[in-house]
Amino acid sequence: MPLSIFDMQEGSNGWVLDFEDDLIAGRLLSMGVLPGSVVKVIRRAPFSGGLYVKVDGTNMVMRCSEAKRILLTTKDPALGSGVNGQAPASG
Amino acid sequence: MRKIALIGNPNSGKSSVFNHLTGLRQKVANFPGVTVEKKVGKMRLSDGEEVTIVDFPGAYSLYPTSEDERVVLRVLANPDDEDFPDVAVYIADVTHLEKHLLLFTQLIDLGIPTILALNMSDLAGKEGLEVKTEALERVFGTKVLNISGRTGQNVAALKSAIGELLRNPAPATAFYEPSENEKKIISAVKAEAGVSNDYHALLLAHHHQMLPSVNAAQKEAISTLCEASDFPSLRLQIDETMARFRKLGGILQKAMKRQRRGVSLTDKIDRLLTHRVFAPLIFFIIMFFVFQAIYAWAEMPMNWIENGFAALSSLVKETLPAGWFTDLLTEGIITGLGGILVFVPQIAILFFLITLLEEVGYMARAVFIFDKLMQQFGMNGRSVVALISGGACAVPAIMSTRTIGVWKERLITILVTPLISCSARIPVYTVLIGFVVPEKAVFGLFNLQGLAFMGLYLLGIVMSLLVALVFKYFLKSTSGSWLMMELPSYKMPDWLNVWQTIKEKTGAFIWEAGKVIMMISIVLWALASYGPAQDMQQAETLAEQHAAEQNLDEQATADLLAAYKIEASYAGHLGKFLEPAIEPLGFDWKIGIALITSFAAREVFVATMATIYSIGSAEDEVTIHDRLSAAVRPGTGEKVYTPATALSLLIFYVFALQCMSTLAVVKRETGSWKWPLLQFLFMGLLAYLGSLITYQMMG
Repeated sequence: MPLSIFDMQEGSNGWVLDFEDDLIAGRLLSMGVLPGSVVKVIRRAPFSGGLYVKVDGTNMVMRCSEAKRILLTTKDPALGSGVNGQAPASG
Repeated sequence: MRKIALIGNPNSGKSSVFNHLTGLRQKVANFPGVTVEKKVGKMRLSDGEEVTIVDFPGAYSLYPTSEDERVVLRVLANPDDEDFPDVAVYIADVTHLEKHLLLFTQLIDLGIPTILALNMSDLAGKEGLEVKTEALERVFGTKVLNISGRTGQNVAALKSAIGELLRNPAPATAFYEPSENEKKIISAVKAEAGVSNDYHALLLAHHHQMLPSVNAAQKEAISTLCEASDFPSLRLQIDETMARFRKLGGILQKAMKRQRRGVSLTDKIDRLLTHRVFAPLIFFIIMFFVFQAIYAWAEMPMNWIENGFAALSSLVKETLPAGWFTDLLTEGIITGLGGILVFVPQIAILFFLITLLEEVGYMARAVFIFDKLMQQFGMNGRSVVALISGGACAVPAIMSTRTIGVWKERLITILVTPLISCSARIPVYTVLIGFVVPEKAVFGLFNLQGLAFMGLYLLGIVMSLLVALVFKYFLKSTSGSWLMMELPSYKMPDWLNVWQTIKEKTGAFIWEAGKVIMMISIVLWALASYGPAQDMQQAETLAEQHAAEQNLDEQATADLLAAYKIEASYAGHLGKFLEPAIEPLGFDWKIGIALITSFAAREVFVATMATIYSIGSAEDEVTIHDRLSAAVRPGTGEKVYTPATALSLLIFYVFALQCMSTLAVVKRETGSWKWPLLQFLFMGLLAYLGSLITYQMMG
């Protein structure tokens, strides 16, 4: 099973690989969340709600069900090595 | 008149730019057939030409995922549309430029002459951001300007750029290079639909089913074309979007310099405001303040308005000769007008605070915090604000649901908000609660009546959530529900925007809901003042006779006459007609009359009761309470206001939609009478059943 945003620890980084759902993909792509985007989970909402994430430096929120459909890698494709927890390269 | 479109992503600061361009010459309408707001304004160019500016709803792409985006697509994919622009101004938040240019490239491809305005450029410097506008102008082939909607910087330059482009409308060259497959379908659609622009043809291939501008025969033909060739629409949309972003990425890498982003002020504020524990706490503190403000700040102006209209009414009564026309004027029209305007302070204050929260960026956080909780009840994070505001008054609360994007979630919020006990119920609760529970302290701390008060409020809240659950399962969902959204950075509010919103909301209420309220209040006046001629005559004779027998003074005689007259009026007849139906609830015909007249507004219950018990001139709640407790049923001598009757009546007022203003606003916001009618019926049913059960169990 590949990792999704939902599986990420707070404060850790991942890079978007792919989307499991074309509708969610369409929405996120139009907002500029692309394969290769750096995602950092900032915190989770109260009442076990959604996720507050930073994508390429832009603050976004999403539901858990949405986060589960966004697949990630924890290896920075640009560096070719795992940099879990490190600050994102700015773009 | 030529048209300028303001287009951009949500949170790009379009409204501020719009305000700067149009000044105060603007109005708000809806796009045809939908409840998406269209702000239209006028602007005079330097050569004297006057142009119309349309502020489009925020959109990310012409591949729509929301109602707002569908509206933008519908207009831009139809050059015959009344809002199709001669020139487009694309507003992009320069601090998030990488993510905000997708729709801009689509505009270019549609061949619409476009200006790219990089908004919030006053913040760019502070963030160490440098954009080479000349470089962007070269690649895009459009004018590119640094502006700021906040400070007004370069708005004049934007204005002259618009004039220049109108004189010399040169569309830029296409940005996106379609694949071979797409090219095939583009030329086929161009031939079929008779369009000249490549990207327009491609949009028709993707969206012909949802576009009203495409007729049935063309829909059929384009569908056949798409089926015949290899055209997986959704996949191609994704590929196209990614290709556009790839190209944009390359362009911006050269044209933009950005320092490493540190932890911004927004991030720091959000540590607290979206904190798992503190966030709901802070939210409720803010909402408590909002509630207090609508409740407390509005009281004084509301009193002025009420007293002002009462004074006007008696002035007219004294000046004009007595007769039906004067009565209509004083008791129908002036009272009705007062009944409309009395809501203005609450509406203005609520929208002042809500727009403020929206403008600084807090509202998006509230949505995030309460999304999950409200989803359980088929509503949206924003619904919390409407529900809490409903505690002051349902009218502005329902108007505030406009920002809920998903129709089903918005509708449920509208339908259940009036179940939250509003401030107009308080006088009714105050008069009646004494019959149910004695004034007594419990545990030395709480007042028993206070606790009962709270119980009534809780009853309303619980019922609104239960009803929301029922609607969640019965209402069809027309579009998917999302949370995915950008959180705007915290910033100072744009005061002009705040002012415009207040003006627009109160104006809409006065003119649109006001018409309905006015009509109903005239009908109610007629029902309460007129009756069968014989009955009215008899009432008058009897009143004079009884007054003479009891040696009543002038005031008491007038009060008695009013009591006899309302009994003989059509409202009185209706009350008596209703009596068999409401008897099982413990109500007599007098309460029946009050139920009818308090449809104007719940607090009218108290005044009507005062009139019926011929103490019309003494409108304080204590006197009324005393008089009610003395009332006995004719024949049996039993008290009318037993605890059972009073509690039953209280329950009735918790649930019933006794408010014509709410109905008028729901009609306006939903665009049809279907929903207010349904709401009136289900709340009436709840009230009836609730009262029936209460009375039968206690009686």
